[in-house]
Amino acid sequence: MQFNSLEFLIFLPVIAILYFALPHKYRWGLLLAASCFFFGFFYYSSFDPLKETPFFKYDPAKNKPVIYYIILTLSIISVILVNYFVAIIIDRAKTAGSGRAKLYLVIGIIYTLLLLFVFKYFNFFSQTVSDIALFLDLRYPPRILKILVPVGISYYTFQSISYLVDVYRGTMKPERHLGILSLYILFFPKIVAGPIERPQKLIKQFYEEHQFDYKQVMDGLKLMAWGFFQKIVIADRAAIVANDVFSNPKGFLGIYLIIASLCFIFQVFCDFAGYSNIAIGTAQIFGIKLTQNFKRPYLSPSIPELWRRWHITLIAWFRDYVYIPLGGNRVAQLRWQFNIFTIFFLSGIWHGANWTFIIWASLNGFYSLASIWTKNIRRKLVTLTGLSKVPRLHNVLKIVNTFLLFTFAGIFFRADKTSDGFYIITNLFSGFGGLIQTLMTMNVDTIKAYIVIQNKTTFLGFAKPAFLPEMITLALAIMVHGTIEIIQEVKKQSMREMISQKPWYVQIALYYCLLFSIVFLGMSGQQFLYFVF
Amino acid sequence: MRKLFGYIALCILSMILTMAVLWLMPGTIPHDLAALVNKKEMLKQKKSPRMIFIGGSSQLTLKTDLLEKELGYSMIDMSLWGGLGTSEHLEEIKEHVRPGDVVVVTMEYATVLDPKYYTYIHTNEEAKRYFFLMSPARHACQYINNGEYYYVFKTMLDLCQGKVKSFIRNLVLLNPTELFATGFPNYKNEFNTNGNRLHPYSIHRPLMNLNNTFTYPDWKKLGFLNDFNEFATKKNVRLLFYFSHFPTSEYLLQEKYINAYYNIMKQSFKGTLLNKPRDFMYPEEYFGDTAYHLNDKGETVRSAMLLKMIKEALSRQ
Repeated sequence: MQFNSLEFLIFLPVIAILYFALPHKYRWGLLLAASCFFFGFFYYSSFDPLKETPFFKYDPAKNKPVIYYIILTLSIISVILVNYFVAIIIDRAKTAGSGRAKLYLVIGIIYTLLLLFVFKYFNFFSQTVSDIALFLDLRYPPRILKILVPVGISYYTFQSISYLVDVYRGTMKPERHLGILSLYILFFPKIVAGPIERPQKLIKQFYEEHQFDYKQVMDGLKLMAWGFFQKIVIADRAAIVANDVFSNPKGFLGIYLIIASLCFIFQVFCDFAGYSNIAIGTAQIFGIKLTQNFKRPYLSPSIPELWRRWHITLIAWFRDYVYIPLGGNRVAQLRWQFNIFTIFFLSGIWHGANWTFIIWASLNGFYSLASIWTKNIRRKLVTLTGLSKVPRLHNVLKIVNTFLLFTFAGIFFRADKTSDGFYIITNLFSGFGGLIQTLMTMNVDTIKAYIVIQNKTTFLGFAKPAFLPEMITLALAIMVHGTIEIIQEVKKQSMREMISQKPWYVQIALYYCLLFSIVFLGMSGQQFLYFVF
Repeated sequence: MRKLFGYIALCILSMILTMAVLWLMPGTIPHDLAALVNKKEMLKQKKSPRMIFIGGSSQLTLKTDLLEKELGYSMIDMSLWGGLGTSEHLEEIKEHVRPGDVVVVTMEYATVLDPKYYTYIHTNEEAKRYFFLMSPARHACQYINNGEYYYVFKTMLDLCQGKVKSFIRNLVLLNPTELFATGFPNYKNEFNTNGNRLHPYSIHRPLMNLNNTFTYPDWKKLGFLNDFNEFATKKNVRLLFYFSHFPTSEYLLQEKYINAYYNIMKQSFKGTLLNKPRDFMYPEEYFGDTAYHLNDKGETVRSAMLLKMIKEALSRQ
């Protein structure tokens, strides 16, 4: 089930009413059943047997959808059971001091990662080996598994690993209630796209009795409304431009490649942050607090800072379970830099089995390392240019620079193929000379003939008459969004808190505008981007 | 919890009220098919006797000024897009035809001979939405009678969304006069007072491939023409039909299907057939961007021939 669907608008209130009507001891069961329904309904409603992926072509004569459902269900049940029993035997081994705890931990992690590899990376791996073999003039046809990737597999895999590692580290006791452990993995607001929650934080909340709290529920609903604004007003609109251009970058001039790259960078943020806000708001209705996943990343003055504010739960996971075990920053300079780059590299692989993600993450890793290498030079440059005397301007320039670098790397994130990504970055300014010359003519028809693509009923993905209204709406929505982000950043307070301090009529007017924009300016039907990871 | 439900109910109510206000307010919708509203206005306003053209974009460039001058009828070109569906289009004009009117119908070959395109036309949600905009009360009653309440709500919401986007555009571009217009925002710049396109179709070579696969026609899909003819006869309205133009090379490839279409029409159609398909087979130089769009040169020839055919048909009355 998608958050931006009519089904969810019916599902959520029904579950919320039942939740508060039931005695506390049965609530976990309700949430688990609701989560299974949510997860199952997603497949039921979105499985398109005719959809082709590079590795999967549905053949009705040979393939039966029910097999995919059984494989998906068994895989997720096996992850839960392995986690449940392995955590218990890790704890027993630790208590007995047998020294086998580490072995059990490794077995548990390998099983979980093996499933992730089979579902998500095997075909990519097989294809890559085949490509290398072909390059070396060897014959190795790729072995392609015809399976569907379980939605949210990267998220629940990481949650499972953090559960096992935390039990091993002794920071939490193994969960003896199989239903609660299953709920930790499957809890519906975060199952498909995070936030990646830690067991210590989430599991105990399922045991706490949550009374209906009007303020908390209202706050959750407001957060959800903001998430819907980000998703259906900004992200889905920007997606139309980005999808059109990135699907055929060679058909567009440089100016469109730039517009599409900018649209994508707003799309990816508003889509994912929107999803996270809806997830956090939904959980809040049930009295459960999920972790904040984004903290105004595009207002970061540096790339490392941006990564502390972007997909916070994923980065924190890598920090705690990879970076720190590798030695973090308490190692030699070169090793430290290696650790930093490793985190980015792994983050790229986590995002998907495609070289485009690896290049995107590596570029961000390179930016982070470059910021360490050039620290002294930049400091001198700032003093020399006098920017140190105007810290505000300096900060704005740093934010703009960070945003542009992130946008540039984002081209690879969105590109369908690495060759498309390289084509776009090398053609960002193609046709600019002609465009400037045309603009100089000041003749509307000439300009129109130059910029509008002929013999197409659409322009940048929109039907031609709708293009201008849609782009104006998008620009206004991004401006409103940006202004709200800046106010929150400056005042260090959430917009919901600020609004709650205003007179009632101002509150009503502002929330009416939010609701109005969702209902009358929202686009419908686009899937969340991060569902595929 | 009661307070919460109260607030939620208030939110829903405020949005329904807003939708009602938006629905009643004038406003354009940034979609080509919104021009149906402007065309309907033209249909209501033109004086009798009138000649009403129903068809797809192939008929949009017709030189109706010439026809008007020669035939003395007020010209109304209701054509817009072949994908709208001729049967639905004829249904829309039924309540607006007057005694003495002449209705001229043409259908692009794909709409009759390509089963895939035929299915597309009759399941096309966009067409349904803009026909709804053309006669909201009639369609709303139909859908409600069929129990499709949600569809009525969804269609009205979609159309209101279009209006809001137009409002925003007009406000940002400081276009206050456009705020109170209806239909398609650019209508006056794209269509003349008879509903024809102001600008000819651009030239594109090779002609764009429309990927149509023709097959033999089925009279069941054309029976609505006789139904309309029956209605028209009762109202003292004449129904004329002509076969659309096509590039000769394409015609030769699809000849057996097109001829079968002609034969079936000749046998079963009860209105007046103006031509044979071969009459409007033209060389490629007469075409604009597709096999259905004539350029200015082609249109001049087609309009002159059509004028002659209509004159003959009317004189036979």
